[in-house]
Amino acid sequence: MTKPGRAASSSSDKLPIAKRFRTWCGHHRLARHDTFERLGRHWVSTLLTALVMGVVLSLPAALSMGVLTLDAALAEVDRGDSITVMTHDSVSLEQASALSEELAPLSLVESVSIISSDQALDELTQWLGLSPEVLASLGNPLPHSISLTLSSTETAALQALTEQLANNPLVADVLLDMEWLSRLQSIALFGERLMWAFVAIALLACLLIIGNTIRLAVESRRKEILVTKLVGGSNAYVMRPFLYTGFAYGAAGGLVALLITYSVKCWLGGPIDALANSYQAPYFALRFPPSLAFALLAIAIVLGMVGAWVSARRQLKLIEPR
Amino acid sequence: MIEFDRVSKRYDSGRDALRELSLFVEPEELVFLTGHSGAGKSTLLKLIMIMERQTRGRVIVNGKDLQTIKGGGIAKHRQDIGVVFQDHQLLYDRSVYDNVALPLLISGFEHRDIGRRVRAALDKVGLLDKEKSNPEALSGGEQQRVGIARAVASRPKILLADEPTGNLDPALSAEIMALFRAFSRAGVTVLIATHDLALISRMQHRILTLKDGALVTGGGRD
Repeated sequence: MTKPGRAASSSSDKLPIAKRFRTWCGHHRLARHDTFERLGRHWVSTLLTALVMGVVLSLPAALSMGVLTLDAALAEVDRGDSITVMTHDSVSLEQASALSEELAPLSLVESVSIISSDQALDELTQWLGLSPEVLASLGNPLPHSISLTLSSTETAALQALTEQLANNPLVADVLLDMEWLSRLQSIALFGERLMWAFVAIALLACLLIIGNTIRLAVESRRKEILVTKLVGGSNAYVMRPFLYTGFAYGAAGGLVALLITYSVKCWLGGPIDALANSYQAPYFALRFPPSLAFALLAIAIVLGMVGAWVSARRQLKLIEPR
Repeated sequence: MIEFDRVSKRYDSGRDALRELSLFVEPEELVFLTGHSGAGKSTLLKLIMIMERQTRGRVIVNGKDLQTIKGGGIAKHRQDIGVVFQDHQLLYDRSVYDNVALPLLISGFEHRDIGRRVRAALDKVGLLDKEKSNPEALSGGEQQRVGIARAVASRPKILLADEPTGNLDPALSAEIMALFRAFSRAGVTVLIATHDLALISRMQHRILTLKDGALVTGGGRD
């Protein structure tokens, strides 16, 4: 028989770093293999947990898709901000042109276009679908107007410009139709807050789901954990399979959430496109950018691992060889 | 190799399991630890394994004061000690081979090395042909031998056994004790807690007798 006591020492604190790293990698390989083998064996409960997580996460994901869509649409609308200046009836087209040339160099003004009263009448006739003769018989009640496209919608500057325009003796009225925009912004803000509330609820729910699943997993492997600790397994060693389990649940839950959210996008895409087309607003389309998909998956994985870590750590403290 | 210096252990319940106990076990020595149940045998082994901490005194194992070992060091300390339990503590969800391989996997042995050592350990306890079996399918004596194979597979310097023959008939008990003696001859320090006085009195090794947590005989350096 060999001299066992002298032949080898398993004391790893004397091992070189390379060997310790190899050992560490080996432990990870082992934990991974053990975890996926176990999850595969109990595939029904694995699938159910992943589905529950996916469903919970898909709610804020779908909401954030809506918020992103609205934000993008608002950004487009913002760019189109304009002021319409109506002149007095007595103002001639020449006077109106001169005024528009005066306004063009202003810092806030990006471009200026003049709409003559005749042009305005034509547009109105077309819009109402009437024959030009009918309106012509009534005379043209429309003044000349100047449309200013703005380079910024900063409130103070906008107010100053509006006042300046209103004080001009040629100007009858300044139409700054921004109210609907601010209403839309309020709706967007509401949507965003709703999304964050759902994000918070979903995060908490996922942590609880994973935490409870891992707690049961630890409990069902109590004896194995005890024996492992008795023969020299560290807390990190016993914890590792549970962290991988959390990772797997998170990744699977994230994928389920992606699938659900993408299905929602496809399902709602048609009606939203039709709506956008009717408003001639092609920029108003459901957005599900890769960054959102990536964030969803990453958050799900982090949640899985954090939930597993907290729960396993708590449970493992209770399982000490006595 | 193992030294207890005026060690006392009082449990939270107020029971004194060990009182001012001093003893010394030389390297490669085989020592029996005996006494009636509740005399402190298990507590003594638990202190060596750092499953419990002494209330007073010092426990020194392999030159290290155990009071200084904390956190991750406890797991490393346990990797250097082989333990055999009365109830085997085997895992029934895996084969005999995997049970014996567990401490080797934890200690980070190479894959090939593990196969070699597991088979060598199973060979020593005469169970090489059972490596693929589930331990549940084995007899009590065979399960105990699997437990011994697991304890010695990583070739620790110290081997502890808590009532290893507790549930076995005399013939099997003698077989198990012969195994421990073989390990001691091969350079392992062996400490066996047992109340099988008839068996150990024939073996001519030092016997430590505990009574109410104090040593009655056999504690000093020989």
